[in-house]
Amino acid sequence: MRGARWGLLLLGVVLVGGVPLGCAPFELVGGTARLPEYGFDVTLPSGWYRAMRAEDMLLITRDGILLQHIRIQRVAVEAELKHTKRKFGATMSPLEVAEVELDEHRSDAGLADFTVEENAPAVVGGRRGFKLVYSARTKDGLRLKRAHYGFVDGKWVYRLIYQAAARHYFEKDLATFEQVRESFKLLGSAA
Amino acid sequence: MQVVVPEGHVWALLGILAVLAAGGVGCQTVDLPSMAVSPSGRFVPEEDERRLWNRAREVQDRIQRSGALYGDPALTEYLNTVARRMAPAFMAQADLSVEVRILKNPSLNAFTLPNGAIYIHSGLLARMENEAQLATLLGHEMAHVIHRHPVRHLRDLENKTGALATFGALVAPLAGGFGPLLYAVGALGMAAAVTGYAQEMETEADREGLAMMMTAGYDPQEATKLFLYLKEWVQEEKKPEPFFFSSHPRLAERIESYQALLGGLPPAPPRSPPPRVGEEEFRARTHGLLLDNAEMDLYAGRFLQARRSLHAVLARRPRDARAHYSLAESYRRQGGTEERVEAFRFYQAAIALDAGFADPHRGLGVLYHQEGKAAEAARALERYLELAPEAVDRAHVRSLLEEVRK
Repeated sequence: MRGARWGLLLLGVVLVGGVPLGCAPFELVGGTARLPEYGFDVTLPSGWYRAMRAEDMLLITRDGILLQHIRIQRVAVEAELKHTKRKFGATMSPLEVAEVELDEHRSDAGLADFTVEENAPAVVGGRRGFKLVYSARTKDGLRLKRAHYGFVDGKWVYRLIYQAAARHYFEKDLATFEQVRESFKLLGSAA
Repeated sequence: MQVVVPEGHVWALLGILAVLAAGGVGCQTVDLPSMAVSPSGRFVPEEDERRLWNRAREVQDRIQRSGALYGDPALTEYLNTVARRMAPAFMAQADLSVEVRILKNPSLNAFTLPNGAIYIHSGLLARMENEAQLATLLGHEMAHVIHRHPVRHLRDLENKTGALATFGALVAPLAGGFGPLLYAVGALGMAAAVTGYAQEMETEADREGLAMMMTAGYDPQEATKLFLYLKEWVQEEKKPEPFFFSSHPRLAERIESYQALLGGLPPAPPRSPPPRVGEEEFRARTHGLLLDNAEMDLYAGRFLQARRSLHAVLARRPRDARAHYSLAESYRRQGGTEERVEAFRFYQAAIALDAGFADPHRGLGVLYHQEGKAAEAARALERYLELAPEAVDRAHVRSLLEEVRK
């Protein structure tokens, strides 16, 4: 009986709190982070928080995910993409990979007024890749802007994306993102 | 758990659920008369219906701010002209916002807010062949409003479950977007109930919509053609796509329903003028939309659909350089040996039609580069940069040029 009461109390805490016990949604980060599950290590800025429940990516923010964040993820080359039926190819040039990425993001029905500002070659983690800068409006009318680096490495396409509200926030942490991008290194890479 | 809700219905859901949040939950009559039989001669909405309309206006404002509207005022006005031709006079007197808007979205979708605002996705419009098919859709959607299906549907939901009282709390996340809302709806097992009208309401909308299009002088035979044509498109997609009648079975229902209705029509009186199909004007008006929507299909990797629209453009305007260019892009993006041949052909045709058009030169350059033809690639890429020195991808193209010059 007593056990049942404690059980109910625990359930109440979970329901009211809305947070599963034993897993904080955010953790403070800073310094070098080694992520063997994603195949890279990277230096993260101090004072930022990592969203621990983000699936299949490293997601960090300082002011809140909706306002600004940096995410690093890798997608299997043969994976089906979310918004376009196009696929990556292991032998694609950076220009072609950038084109598929742009098609993927501008086919997102949640974004409107998609505008590409820059599409250039770039080196990320010692690999030939691309840099995209684009902006779009969300369904709520918020204009967001992204700086998006990427490259192909074997069977993976890597994405390093900085997203922020175009006004005020984007410029604020762009330099921090560039530092993160410069620190990015594939594990097992000599580069 | 992810709830799959046809995309167009998201906006309608927003309006309906917001009214639930505003209160008014109780057992109410679902059997409401049509707006057309209002005893006072001027339709006056009931309280919950008025709230539904007010919230719908807020949704309209949000759509307006979202940047999702397709910016072609002349085409939008044309659609509204067709709608006005069909709308009974009492709709204007009832303080309804009977207006049609186009959303930039290549999927096959359309929806109507409770206050009569009709939203058609560019993808659906691009797949129509004539004005009579447009009238079929508008008639069906307006019939939902005239017969007060939104408020009837809402009351039916309220009566069916006491759980709706909890919706007040669930609508709170709306301010942040639709995801939390849809999650909440799905968690209560309500998604199916709120994403489409009951079959008898759909059948009523078919019947009344058909009557409206015929009264306006449109050829009713086009009604079934529209749905058969759309069914083909959906089958070609091979996987479920958001669709304005929710799903394939609903589409099949519409086809059967219209076929039954058409089968019961009396023969046209002798010497009566032929009913209007309006293909010529419709094609002329939707020319730009076909090109824009084909571009969206290209991005989404729906090459076959893009090419259908582009060939429809070329059937009317065989010298359209942009259509040739987009066709070339569809083949290049698709990849493959035969596709590459076609891509070359259409890039060259685009250049022949408009020598100052930069983009086909870029496409040619990329193709030549892939084929190892360095000199041809260099020539095409140089020409691209001459014509578009400020292109956003100029750094990529310069890098490619350096590579082919080595």
